[in-house]
Amino acid sequence: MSGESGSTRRAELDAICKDIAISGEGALAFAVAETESGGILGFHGEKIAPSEMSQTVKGVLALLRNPDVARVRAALLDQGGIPGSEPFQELRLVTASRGLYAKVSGDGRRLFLLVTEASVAPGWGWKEIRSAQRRLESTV
Amino acid sequence: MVDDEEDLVWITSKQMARTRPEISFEGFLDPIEALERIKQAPPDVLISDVQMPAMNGIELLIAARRVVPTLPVIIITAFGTSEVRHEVMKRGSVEYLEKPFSFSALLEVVDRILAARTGFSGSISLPMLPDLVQIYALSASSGALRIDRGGETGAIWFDRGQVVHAEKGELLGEEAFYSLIGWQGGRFWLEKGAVPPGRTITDAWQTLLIEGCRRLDEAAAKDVPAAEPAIQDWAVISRLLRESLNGAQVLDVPLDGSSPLSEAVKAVTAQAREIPAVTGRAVLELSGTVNGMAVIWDEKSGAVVASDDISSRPSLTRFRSAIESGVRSLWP
Repeated sequence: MSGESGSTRRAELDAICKDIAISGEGALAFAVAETESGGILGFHGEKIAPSEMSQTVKGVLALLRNPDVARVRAALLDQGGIPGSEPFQELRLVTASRGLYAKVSGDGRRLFLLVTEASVAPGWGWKEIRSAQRRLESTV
Repeated sequence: MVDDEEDLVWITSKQMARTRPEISFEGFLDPIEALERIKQAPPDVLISDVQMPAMNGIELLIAARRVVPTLPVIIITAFGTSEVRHEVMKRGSVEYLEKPFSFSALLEVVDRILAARTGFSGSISLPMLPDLVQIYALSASSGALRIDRGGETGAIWFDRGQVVHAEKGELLGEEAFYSLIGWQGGRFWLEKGAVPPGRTITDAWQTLLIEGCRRLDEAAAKDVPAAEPAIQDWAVISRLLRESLNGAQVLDVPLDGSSPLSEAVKAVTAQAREIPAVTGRAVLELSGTVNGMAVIWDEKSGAVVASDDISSRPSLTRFRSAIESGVRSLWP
């Protein structure tokens, strides 16, 4: 891909991310990234700097791949909980100030990430990120 | 459900009977009749229109909350602006649905409220002033909204829905309004038709609410240390989750590395803390196609781990709803 078409592509994806981020009340940022490299393909953020989003993407991917998550799952399984052994592909982190929703695409190549205000209802956050995934999967 | 639109009440009643036969739905065209029924048999959820003859939605809300202080209320109305709606919903205990709404949208809200109430009926907050101001403004009412909190009193006057005057002690006008908006809880009542002793406020009610909510945000940010929950709250959260999650694993895990599970949870939470969106205590929820896991952690007192089979949608909803309710009770 030439530099020019690459930057056009980035601008196009940024525009879609902006459309997604500003269409939802309480959304602070939306990004789509490559799972393999952690590179951001498209991003729009209100009150979230690109550098912060870049670190967030890397952190989320590392957490989803973290062998300690499998250890927690195994330890729970030993105690009779958490049936099945599918890898985790969705993540939600909520603190007193923010909510973070992440979802890996069906083919495992893309990560979609939504940052919201913490007060946003989880049902809305998931609905929003899944709808964004449907919209972007055919594009990216 | 209380609405003077007979067709809407009738259609909702039919759809509710078809899709949620386990729910006992009662529809009323007359809010006074509805209030009498609430006194006889308090409902789990009240759905109310704003503009109704004899008694408007806010009067019904206040009267109903006197009977059932934690009664969840869904207001069906047209909004002022989406910005105001968002600011108010973030803090309020009242849900809003904009007319016309789909039955599925209503059902989603009802389901969410009912799920949250299971085992958590005490955690629903009391009505807050932004809710009441918005509903009063939307209903284009005139009168005074009087507030009493532990002997401190204040009042906000409305003229056909516009806020025209406020008093709190020696404060008058906007400063009194913003001070009152910060009160969380208290006793509210309406003095319908009361004439304001003066006119000290000219800004639109939407502007006042947004600014009031902004000030609440700033105050909340300064109060972070004070908002830290007490240790006993931490013990309560695992009990609430266990009760609500019916059979799912809920384990209190001390983060002291004394067991393989504790060690692994500690390692996971340490990594989650590296993510910029996360600081201090948090809930981490991970899910795949057939299972889900949530870890709620606290720096000092340990972690609660909950897990559930989320292969079916209702279970997933229940899981997330329970976790969310737990988090809300931990971080009010």
